[in-house]
Amino acid sequence: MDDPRHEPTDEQIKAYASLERQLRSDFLGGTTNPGVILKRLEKLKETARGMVNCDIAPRIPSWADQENPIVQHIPGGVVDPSRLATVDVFDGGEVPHNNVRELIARGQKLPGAMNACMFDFYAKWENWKYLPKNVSRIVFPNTIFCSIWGSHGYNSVCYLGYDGLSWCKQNQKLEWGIHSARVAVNTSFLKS
Amino acid sequence: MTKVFLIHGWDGHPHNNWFPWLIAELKAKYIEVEAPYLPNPAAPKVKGWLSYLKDYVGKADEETFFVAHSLGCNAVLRLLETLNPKVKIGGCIFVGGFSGDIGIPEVSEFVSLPLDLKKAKSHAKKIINIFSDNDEVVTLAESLKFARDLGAKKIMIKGAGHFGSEDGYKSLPIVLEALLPMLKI
Repeated sequence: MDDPRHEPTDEQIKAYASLERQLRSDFLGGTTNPGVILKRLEKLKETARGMVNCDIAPRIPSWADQENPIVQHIPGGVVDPSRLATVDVFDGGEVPHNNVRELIARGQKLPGAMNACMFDFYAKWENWKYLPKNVSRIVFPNTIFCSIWGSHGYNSVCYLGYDGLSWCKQNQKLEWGIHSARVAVNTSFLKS
Repeated sequence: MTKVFLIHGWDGHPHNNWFPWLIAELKAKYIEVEAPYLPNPAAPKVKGWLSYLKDYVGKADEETFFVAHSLGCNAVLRLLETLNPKVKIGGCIFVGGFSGDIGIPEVSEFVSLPLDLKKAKSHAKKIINIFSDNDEVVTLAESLKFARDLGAKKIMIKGAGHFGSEDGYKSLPIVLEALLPMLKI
């Protein structure tokens, strides 16, 4: 596997230098708008090589309510995508048929549980290399989307499904079920 | 071992319409029954449903049977289409099924992406299509064409609509009547 942290591209160097210049200029010029500074720092984090910024808003899926799409989004820091583990939150025990709500509740309690920013990242085919081959479905519990359908709205969570060849973007309503699902966590947060 | 899979339709789930009734009936007869929740049911994608079904069903054989409703029928046929040429399943019972355009944009992918019905039906020992003459979702012409294309046995229920709970169907005994002989039980 290529080490994503090996060499920055010219584009990354350019973006980093530009942000650094802007921050220096803000500092020297006495700019005190914390919103501007935070935004630039956030962008700076995104330039970290091979890392994924999970503190930003996720991509809004086409099926989500486009006006108020996000019900819950727990920031996840800047994540090294190679440190992915999947956890069976039911620990091999009995799993209720309509298990999503319980799966999310248990998943969100795990340190390093991932949000939809990581779902977006891993869903790209060039990033499938980070995903395990022996897992059918990986749920990203720290983002819950809202979708309005007809007269009723419902909350859903995103997950990736593997059919033996490719990974597929999927989602399920919180009231319903996902078969053989595991929760995505960043191992940096797991205690050894 | 005989196993029956119940496959729900668009924006459906295993706990609506007549599925809970059928699950209870089959379990009472000690027949193994599975009813998955398919992903993104309100805005389904062929790839998503197919990959989920393939994994959920696993190795299909002559003891594998499907009962599907509405869009679930299309999904089952897409699953059959992918089977190894030598694999045959026990049979399918389709209720309110279709393969042609029914004018619902959310399911358009299922009717526009190619589906080789000839290949799909070759994997099923028997197919029964149950439909009605006043289905507002699937026209009578589409139901008849669907059955004809599949070489399916036709069972028409007058005034049954789309066989949903809103049509009054919390149970559907005709499915059981058609299924049990297929299971040779």
